[in-house]
Amino acid sequence: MEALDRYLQAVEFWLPGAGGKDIVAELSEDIRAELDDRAATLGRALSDDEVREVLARRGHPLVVAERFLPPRHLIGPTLFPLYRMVLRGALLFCLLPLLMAWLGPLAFDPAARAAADGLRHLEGIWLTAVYAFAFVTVAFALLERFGASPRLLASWDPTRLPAPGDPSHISRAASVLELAVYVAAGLFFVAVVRSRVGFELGTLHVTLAPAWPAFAWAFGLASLAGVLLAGANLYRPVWTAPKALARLVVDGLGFALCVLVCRARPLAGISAPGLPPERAAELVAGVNRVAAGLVPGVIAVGCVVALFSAYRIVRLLRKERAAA
Amino acid sequence: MSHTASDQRDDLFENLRLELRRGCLGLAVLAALRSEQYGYTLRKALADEGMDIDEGTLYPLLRRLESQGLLQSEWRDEDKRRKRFYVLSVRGRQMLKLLLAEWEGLNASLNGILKEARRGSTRSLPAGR
Repeated sequence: MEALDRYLQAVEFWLPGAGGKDIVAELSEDIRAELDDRAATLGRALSDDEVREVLARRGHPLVVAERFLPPRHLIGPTLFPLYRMVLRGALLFCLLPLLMAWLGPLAFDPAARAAADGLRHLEGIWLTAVYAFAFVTVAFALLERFGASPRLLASWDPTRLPAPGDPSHISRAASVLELAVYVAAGLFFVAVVRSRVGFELGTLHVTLAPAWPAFAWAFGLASLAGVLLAGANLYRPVWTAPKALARLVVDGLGFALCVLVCRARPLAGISAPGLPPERAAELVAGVNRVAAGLVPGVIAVGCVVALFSAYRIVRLLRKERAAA
Repeated sequence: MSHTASDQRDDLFENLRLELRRGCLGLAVLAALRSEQYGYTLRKALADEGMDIDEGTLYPLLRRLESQGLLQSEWRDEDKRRKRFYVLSVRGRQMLKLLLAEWEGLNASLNGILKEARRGSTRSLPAGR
């Protein structure tokens, strides 16, 4: 019966406290009764192999012990769908900009420093993912531990649940805001063209890079396209695949122009009464350095916006196909 | 491919069968423990009545019913071995009465529904099948 003793000891190992001994004593009696029954049927003592077979049929000691333990979980079935949604959102929110900031410059400039800094970026991405996962999981485990789920779900009102979403609906408020932003941007770039790359800010005279008029024309055209699109959306607040494609093109053009401006040393010079030329040159270099440093961030935001627009197009096409 | 589909159907049937039986196990155990028994003889008695129940299900169930005050147990020596005997408590007897009434009501309802379903399926079958 050595195998039986080993088996019972292994089961007891997984059962905490005095209750474990009691359970194992009862289990021992049940197994011995079964072995006796078999021996009586066969008319002889059981061989070691036959005892092993009986024990194997009962299952792994851990499985047997687990059946006596109360059900335990870190995050229960009620909170789990919410946990999964928050975790997905947190990972997307934390990782997507980092990934874009790393991969984006590579797409525009394969020789970029991003390639050399690949491992450093990967380490940052990995640590961010681990922290986000740990933070969300611990927060939900605490909610579960302190019984927050019944309280969270106790008070609700069917009329206050979110209205059924329509992916093709466009908020008029958002269209008005877009219209205002594009008009303001258009006026700014017209002013830049008219200023012939130089303007006054109080006593400060700012000179822009010679490439600015070309950029300003391009930005002006992009703003005009944005105004037309926002106007169309305001008139008919429903997304269609062509409108969503136009939004993708306009946004893509805008972000690409921003990247080009940032990399083109946008500020040529500044001057003011009492400002030494060396100090002015330092300020100009500093502004241009900051602009160049913004490039990965602009690319990252642009990629996120483009992905969102692309996803909108896919959803609209799917909807159109389903309707057909 | 058809073998896999058949396996899946068998697994599904097995899961549904177990689910169906699981709901009846508590009632069967309470009913069988109107007279005192220990785990192994209880398991055999249930198996003899066609209600097979493995020890991994029976013993945790006995402990749960005892912790709910529906059973009482006692360790005693019998045939030179220590065994734990279970029997219905007073509360367990009351609960058994309630559950039996519920079971009979459920059974009557289900029989009615099944009769309707059988009649419907017979009508919908093509002649000769």
